[in-house]
Amino acid sequence: MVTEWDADRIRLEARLRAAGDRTPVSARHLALVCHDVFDALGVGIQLIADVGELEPVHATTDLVERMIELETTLGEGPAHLAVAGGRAVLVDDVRRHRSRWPLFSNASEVAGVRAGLVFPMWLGSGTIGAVEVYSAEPWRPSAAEQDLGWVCAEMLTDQIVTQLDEVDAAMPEEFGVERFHARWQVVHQATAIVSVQLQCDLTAASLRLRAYAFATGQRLCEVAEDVVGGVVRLAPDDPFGLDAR
Amino acid sequence: MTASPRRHSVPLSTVSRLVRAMSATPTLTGVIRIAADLGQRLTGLPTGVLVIDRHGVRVSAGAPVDDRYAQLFAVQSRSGPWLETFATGVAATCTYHEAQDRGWIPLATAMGYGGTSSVDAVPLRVSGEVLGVLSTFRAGELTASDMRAQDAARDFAEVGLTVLSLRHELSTVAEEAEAFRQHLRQRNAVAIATGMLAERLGVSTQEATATLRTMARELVRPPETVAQGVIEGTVSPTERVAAVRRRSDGEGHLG
Repeated sequence: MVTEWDADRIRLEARLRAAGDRTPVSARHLALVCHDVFDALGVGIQLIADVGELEPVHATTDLVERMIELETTLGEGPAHLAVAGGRAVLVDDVRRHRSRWPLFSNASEVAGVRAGLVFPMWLGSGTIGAVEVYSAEPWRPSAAEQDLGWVCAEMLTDQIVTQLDEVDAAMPEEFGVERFHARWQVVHQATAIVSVQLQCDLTAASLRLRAYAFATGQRLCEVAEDVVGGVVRLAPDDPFGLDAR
Repeated sequence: MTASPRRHSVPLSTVSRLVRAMSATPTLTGVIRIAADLGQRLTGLPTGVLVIDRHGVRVSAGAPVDDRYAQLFAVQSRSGPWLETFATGVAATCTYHEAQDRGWIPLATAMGYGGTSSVDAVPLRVSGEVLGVLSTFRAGELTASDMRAQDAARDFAEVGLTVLSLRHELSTVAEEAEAFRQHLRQRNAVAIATGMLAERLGVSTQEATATLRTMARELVRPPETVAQGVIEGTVSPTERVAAVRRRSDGEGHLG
């Protein structure tokens, strides 16, 4: 029950998990505790990258990884709204949000996700990312659950900013302690490769990569791995990459 | 001793104007100067403000700006009851004779010169933490009216210091946010530059990563700086580095 949790208990649980792993407390430990707090399908964290796009940092389950990839591929979903509006976004039942996010809602339901609650991560006067909590059933969180969600978002923000401070800028790959985040670097590499292949800028290359993933029904990370591995090569006159292989 | 000038009522519009000015002032010296001015108007007594920041730096001000009190205001940061009040967070009063007895000679001298018989020092707090001391310099007995005016002067000074502290905190957070974005930017730049080099040189991304590191060593620049240069087209691998990479890739597969 959410009412049994508070910031101190979340912190303590995260410390216990970190001690079990024999590592310092990380965003992953806190996210796992948040997962338990809400008895959720999964918890995900995304951060705003340089050009305003969201970049995954962590997902507690493979399902949430897929949801985050879906949001990035489609360019729509509650995390975008939470970050842009700076407020919590509740998707109490994806079926009721089809007009708002037609592609995301349908794909979520197919994946077995029925509801989500997303909190912006505030740092000073701006948002730096979002914390997403997903549920398998329609969900109307209580006021206590929403308050606790804000507590989780705040703790994760503090943790991620502290984590970044502690990482040597000369060894940026060390920040990618989370598997999902490390994997996302392949998407950046693939975007760059596509930009050279098509002689376009990075924004256009990212769109082409996402369009290809959408058109072929593949996960963005898988497409990126194929591009990096030379299995897929996009052509200028093939906007959806249908003749790419 | 000469009586200091007393003023018993201050127009509300003046108080309002000074509080607004104090809240809009971005510097500590500006805030404490206005706080001292406001204190002097409210109490009708010469008023000093001393603030000691987290690094131990002492900043003081006083009002009215008058030669008679200049020494008194200056001595706040050197000797007297202020440091005790700052350390204990307890208000204190020091008379001319106590100052002499305790060996605070500069204070006693300044009190004599300024016609002051007592100093009342009250702590200034922001979020419960003592940041400074507000002092009034009396020639006569302490009255209930003086005490009320001192309380009001303290409250307004605390408002000014709180606003300044919040402003500072916000700017620190903004710097933190920018550092955070910069970190993300640098990290992604390495991945993007690696992809670009891999495609341009016809090598694997692992080899492109090694190339980027070699370039950084040759140029004596951090890898993320070189990566940014690769993305912007201002840095490209030297023929030697490219050749080494091609050789390490067997016959190479450019094109």
